[in-house]
Amino acid sequence: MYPTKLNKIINLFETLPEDERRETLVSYADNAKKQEPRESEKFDLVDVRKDEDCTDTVGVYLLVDENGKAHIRMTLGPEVQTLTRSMTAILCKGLEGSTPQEILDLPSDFVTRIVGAELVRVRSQTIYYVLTRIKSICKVYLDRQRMAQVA
Amino acid sequence: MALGSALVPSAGDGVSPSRTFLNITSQRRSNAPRKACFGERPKPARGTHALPRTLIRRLEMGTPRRRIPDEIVKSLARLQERPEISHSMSTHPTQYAHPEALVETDWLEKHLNDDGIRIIESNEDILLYDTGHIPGAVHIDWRADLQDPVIRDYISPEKFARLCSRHGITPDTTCIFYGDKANWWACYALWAFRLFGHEKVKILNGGRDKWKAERRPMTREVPKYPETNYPVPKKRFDKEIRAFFDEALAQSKGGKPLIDVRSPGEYKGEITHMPEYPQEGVLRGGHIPGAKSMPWKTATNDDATFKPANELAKIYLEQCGVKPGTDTIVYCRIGERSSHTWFVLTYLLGLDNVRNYDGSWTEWGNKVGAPIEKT
Repeated sequence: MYPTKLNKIINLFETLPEDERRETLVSYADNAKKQEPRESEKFDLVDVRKDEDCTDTVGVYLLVDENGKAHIRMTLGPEVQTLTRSMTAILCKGLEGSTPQEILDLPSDFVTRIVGAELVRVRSQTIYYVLTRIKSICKVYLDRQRMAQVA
Repeated sequence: MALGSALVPSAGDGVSPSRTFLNITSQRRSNAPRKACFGERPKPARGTHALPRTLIRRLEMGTPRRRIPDEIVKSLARLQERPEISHSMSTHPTQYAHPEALVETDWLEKHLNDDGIRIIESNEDILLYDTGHIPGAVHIDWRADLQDPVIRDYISPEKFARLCSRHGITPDTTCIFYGDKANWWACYALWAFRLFGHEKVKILNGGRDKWKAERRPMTREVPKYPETNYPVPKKRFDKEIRAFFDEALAQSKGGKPLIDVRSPGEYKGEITHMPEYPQEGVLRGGHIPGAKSMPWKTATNDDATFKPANELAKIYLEQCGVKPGTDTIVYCRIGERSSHTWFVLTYLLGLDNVRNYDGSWTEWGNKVGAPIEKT
């Protein structure tokens, strides 16, 4: 149902007690910077914007290799909240090597399994924001592919 | 006159939080070792009395008192005996009414290990404390720790006592609050502590942003303090510092000061959520009829510190029409941004009778029968 790498992360979080879950989320947040584009990388699509659903600029970079596998990189502004940073690192790692279509078809119910009920609240709805942005860039990519095929 | 008498603590009157504050101040001033902690109240500049200057001049010049109502003469006499009171009500203050309600980052770094204080971090970002905090600081989560999980209300006095005991807090502990977003949530937590009558409360001026920007020490170590036995507060001071829907409605109908501290877009009804935040479930946009718009952030500088007293007075007394001695109600969406404004009005400008309507727009905007205004 979920990509293998993401499934492993979900399973890990589900076994953790609350305090360790928080620690692990913070640890992922610390690693969010590692998901930024590397110097030599060239991308098929880049979507950097600051919009109303997040407190700072978020950039999404999509590279689809010759095997059709997606590689996602992200940049986050300094005001982006910790949980959003955590989800950035989790999703970049968990979705590494999935196809754009697999990402687009991904249900969002796994988010609460990772974050846990205690940390999901009104003001933390932005945890879904990163997934929405990743799906959005994959959709644009696929739409363009289809358009190119039709043309 | 109401202005003077409202702030003069009468003998044995230690009930209202706003009234007890001056009592606390006088205790602090007599407590020599803590002088550096709480600071001396500065003497007011001449001519900053809240009473009309003409009356002051007439008294000073020996104008016959029979021309001035007795109650005003008595009030003025009280003000002259207690300069800090006249200072707190000044329309052109040069100092905060209660400067001891703030601590600066420099001071806090030198007093991290002082006995009798507890540093409390409270944020919107629920994992921010876990990423690093001021050494010795404990975390209070605005929702998990301060709000009832079932009823839309704050925790019970019993739960508040347990929360304080868990963090090694006693009624004598000076709680220094700080947090993200220029102390939004810190002010919210402070307000909640005042709701339960905890008197010794302060804000770290500039909050977490300034502390971090100044590269002061941070740690991920979560401190453990010996558990205390905080007595269960006998009451919650809802009546004194909190407003409910009916009271906000009466305030609106009575044309009394109401300050809407949300963003201009929310006030005008153009948006039903904060800019950059998700929709939180409000059906209608607009504001409470008669409310003045003054976004909370107007009270802060770029470094998240509070603006000086004279600027705050200009904003709230002149632009919002808030008058000393008059009931004032502040609101936002859930009462957290308005806690910031409540702190400014109550502690920095020294206004009495300021209440926070924590039901705010998430209640008013959805309430059947509640009138709204859009401009």
